[in-house]
Amino acid sequence: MKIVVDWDLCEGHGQCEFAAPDVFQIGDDGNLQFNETPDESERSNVEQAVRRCPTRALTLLED
Amino acid sequence: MTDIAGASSVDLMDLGPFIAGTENELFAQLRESDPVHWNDEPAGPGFWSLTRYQDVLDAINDPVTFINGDGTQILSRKVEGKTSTVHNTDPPRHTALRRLVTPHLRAVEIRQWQTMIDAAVEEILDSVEGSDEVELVNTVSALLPIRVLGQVLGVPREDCPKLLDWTNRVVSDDPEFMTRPDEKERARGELFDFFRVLTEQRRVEPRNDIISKLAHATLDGEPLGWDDLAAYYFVLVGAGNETTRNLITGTILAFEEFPDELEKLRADHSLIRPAIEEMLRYVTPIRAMRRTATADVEIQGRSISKGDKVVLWFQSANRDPRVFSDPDVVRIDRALNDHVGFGWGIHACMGSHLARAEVTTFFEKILERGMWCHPSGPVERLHTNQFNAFKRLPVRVEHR
Repeated sequence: MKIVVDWDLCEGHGQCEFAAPDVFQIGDDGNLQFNETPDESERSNVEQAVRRCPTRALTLLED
Repeated sequence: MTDIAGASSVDLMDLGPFIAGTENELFAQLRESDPVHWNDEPAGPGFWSLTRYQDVLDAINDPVTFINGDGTQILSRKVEGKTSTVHNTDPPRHTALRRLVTPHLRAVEIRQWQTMIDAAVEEILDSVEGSDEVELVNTVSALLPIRVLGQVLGVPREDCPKLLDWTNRVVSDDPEFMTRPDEKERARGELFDFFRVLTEQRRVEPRNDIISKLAHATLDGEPLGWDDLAAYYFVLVGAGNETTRNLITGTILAFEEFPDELEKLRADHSLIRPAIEEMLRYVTPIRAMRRTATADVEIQGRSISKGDKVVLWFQSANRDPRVFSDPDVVRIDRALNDHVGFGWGIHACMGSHLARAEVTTFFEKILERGMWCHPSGPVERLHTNQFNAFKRLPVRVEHR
């Protein structure tokens, strides 16, 4: 799986970090940092992160 | 509309069921028979109540139609006074305000506080270990969040009890804390004066704490004005201690209802993380937040008019059987737990990582010690429909 962020939409709310803290982190500047291709074991957390994004900025692509 | 169970006459301004702890029966009735429920208000315009999960989520995900700027309390009041907190503002200002603090409350940032959280938990457990009976709320649940919050904010330890006192007096309408009609105003004034002094100190001598970050924060290139700072302190103090203490107390009560789940947790501490998510769902420390409609909108066949107040009942959404199987049952290993215990969307709880760290540490350590607290007398609930809050709970301390 691959995570894509729409940077025009992301406002750094950190809800993805809440769902998948090992994949997403809000940096010191308030901007999102993330692992684009997380391990399969993170799938359900990443799916929750996508659902929780308040601005719908995250998309999950299959390989 | 069918009204088989008399749902349309349900009055969520009547605090009776909330004090008795029977409110979930009303929510079940509303979800089934009157999911978009009109409620009159004795001294206000009245409000709509959304009680189904999907309706709550749809509204919360549409911050253009359902705004926070006209208030988030069920009653038409702003407890912070004339100033506006981050949760009572809308984008774009809300986004800018929120970004001042969220980076300091993110998960990796919270890890630096873990040693302090460990110490706070150990100290509290030391104080009750060996006791037979204690009053849980004031000797355990309330102490942990104020100690932790005090450190994260940068409040001197000896002043931490004041944070709790101010929260009780400003946030709740409980008669126990409202000794005079101007009680809220006085408490708010004391809180603001206290933080004004700390802010001045941190401007000169910054430390690694949130007061220092806010004292040096800028909005649109300008330093944050006093009104914005005061509002921020206010929301951080209130949200940071009220909720966590109620989650701890609520969790102790919930495990007493479901002792098999407690045994499951005792046998496998790796279930603490999902167990806390389940308690956020089951307990729902903040029962509801309010929005105001900015346009005429139809939900479930009911017509909501522009300007109407719309209350989103997280507590009811978290018990919606359309989303959670056996919603009235605690299942500590519940999969796919998309609860709204921290709210959802752009206004979702900013302190969720801190709250989780506190509560996780508390339950890890109490279990490691072979201790537990069993309710030994009736719980006293706070007189409010907005928070699932507890004033007192006598418990018997078990040592295995």
